[in-house]
Amino acid sequence: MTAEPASCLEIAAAVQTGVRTARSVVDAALAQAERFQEPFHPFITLTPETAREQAERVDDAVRRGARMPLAGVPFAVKDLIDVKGFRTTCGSRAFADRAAGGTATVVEQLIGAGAVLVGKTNMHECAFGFTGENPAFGDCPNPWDPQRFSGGSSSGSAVAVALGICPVALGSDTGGSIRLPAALSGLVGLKPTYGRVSRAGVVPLAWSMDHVGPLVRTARDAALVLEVLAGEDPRDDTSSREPVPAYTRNLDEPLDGLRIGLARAGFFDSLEPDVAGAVEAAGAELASLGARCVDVALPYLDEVLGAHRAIIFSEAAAYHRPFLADRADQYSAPVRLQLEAGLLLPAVDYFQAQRVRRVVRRAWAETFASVDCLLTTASQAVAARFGAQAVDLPGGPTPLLHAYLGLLLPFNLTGHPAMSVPCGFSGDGLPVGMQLVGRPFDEATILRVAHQYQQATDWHRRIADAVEG
Amino acid sequence: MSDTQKPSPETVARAARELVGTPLDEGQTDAVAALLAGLIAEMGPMRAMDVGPSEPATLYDASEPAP
Repeated sequence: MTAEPASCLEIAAAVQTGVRTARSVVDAALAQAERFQEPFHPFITLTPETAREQAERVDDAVRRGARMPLAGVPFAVKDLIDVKGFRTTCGSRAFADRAAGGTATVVEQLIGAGAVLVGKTNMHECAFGFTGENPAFGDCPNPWDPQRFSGGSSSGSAVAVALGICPVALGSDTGGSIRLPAALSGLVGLKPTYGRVSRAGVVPLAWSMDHVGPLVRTARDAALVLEVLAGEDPRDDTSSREPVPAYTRNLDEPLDGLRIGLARAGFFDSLEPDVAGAVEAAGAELASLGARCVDVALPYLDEVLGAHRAIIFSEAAAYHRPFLADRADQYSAPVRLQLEAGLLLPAVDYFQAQRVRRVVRRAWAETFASVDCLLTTASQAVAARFGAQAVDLPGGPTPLLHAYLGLLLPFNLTGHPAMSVPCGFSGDGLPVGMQLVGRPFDEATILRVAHQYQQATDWHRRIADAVEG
Repeated sequence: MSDTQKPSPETVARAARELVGTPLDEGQTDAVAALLAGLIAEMGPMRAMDVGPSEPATLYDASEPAP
């Protein structure tokens, strides 16, 4: 049986204490990346030369006594995150030759903490989709069943971590694009509060709803990485000045008395039975750890979907308009179609959506006054087969968008921190994820709940057959 | 809030050409019209919502950061 891949924490400890060298860790990661490129296509660009140079710099620094929280940890970034010297394709032929003018703040932060970039990951084209299908750079099949999609848009990031190539990859999340592929691939995916992590050097999909965050295997690794990434960035004027806590410090505090809200109406309707069972069991497990589950209401869910659609289509079309004028035929047909539809939405709908957003945020603040976090499923169904148009749910055939993003995208509109955490498997052996949602800038609470849950369960320790093989 | 009709491909083609200045390929107009019809339906509850005096969540910030 294949060993569970090492975590960020374990790798950093081994490199820092001289048990392993960063160079040997990175060489192993690059070999795994080569091994799995076919048929999983996790990478658009591998960076072996710079990775080995960075790793040797880390080893030199360790020998000189430097302390680095991510010493020698191989990482990858979704290919809409700039790294100087490499192209940023956004997973699109339209940007296949786009040279990055600089390096994104999040990449500089990780490298500064001792991590080593091994490559840039595949994605749903322009981040405007959620299956991970990509006609330009290859589809990203699900490591748990290659007949099914891995979820997106941060598909390559999820696949790279699920296959054990690297313990952390960065993704972006505008409507669930970190949390969905994490959930469908058996990983932890964290979308921090809007403004918590810099977007500087990250190609936008929708400026006011884009978030950058990590896909990892454990909540502890998510906390470790967030400690490196969180904070104000002068290069991103939407980044927040809120103080950054030490996210790893309180992970082991018990959950006694913690109030977890279950928004049954809207979030527990029409789930696949295996998904419903797994999340109900997760709630019971959290209760056994001392938390108190209480029913709550989140109003305006129908309005939230429409507001999210108005904003994402309008902002994406506004960004891509000059490129559409220049090279529309280089986009894939589905993405081009969405962008062209966005060009035609009335401006008054965009502003109504932004007004709705403010009303919803206030209403949900009242809900959060009575609970410390929310528990929902990450998706209504496990990963579907490539080509599926709908999933059969108890409420009837449901469009993929609603089944896979309907429970995630509300928190892009409101900006709440949210993360998906593995909480079980379907009868077909496919991962099920739950979603934890915290108060704005209270990532610490959901990370603690997730960590305590992972200490009591072993879902996150399971390894896909593809890795075993 | 007045009801809207599904936009016709002809309307979509004219709007793209005359209002947006981004003409669509002839083969695209049916698909864009169908997608827009779906979006408009999804936006229905949002359009009808009484938001009172709420201002948009995105506002101009006069304190521009230094370049």
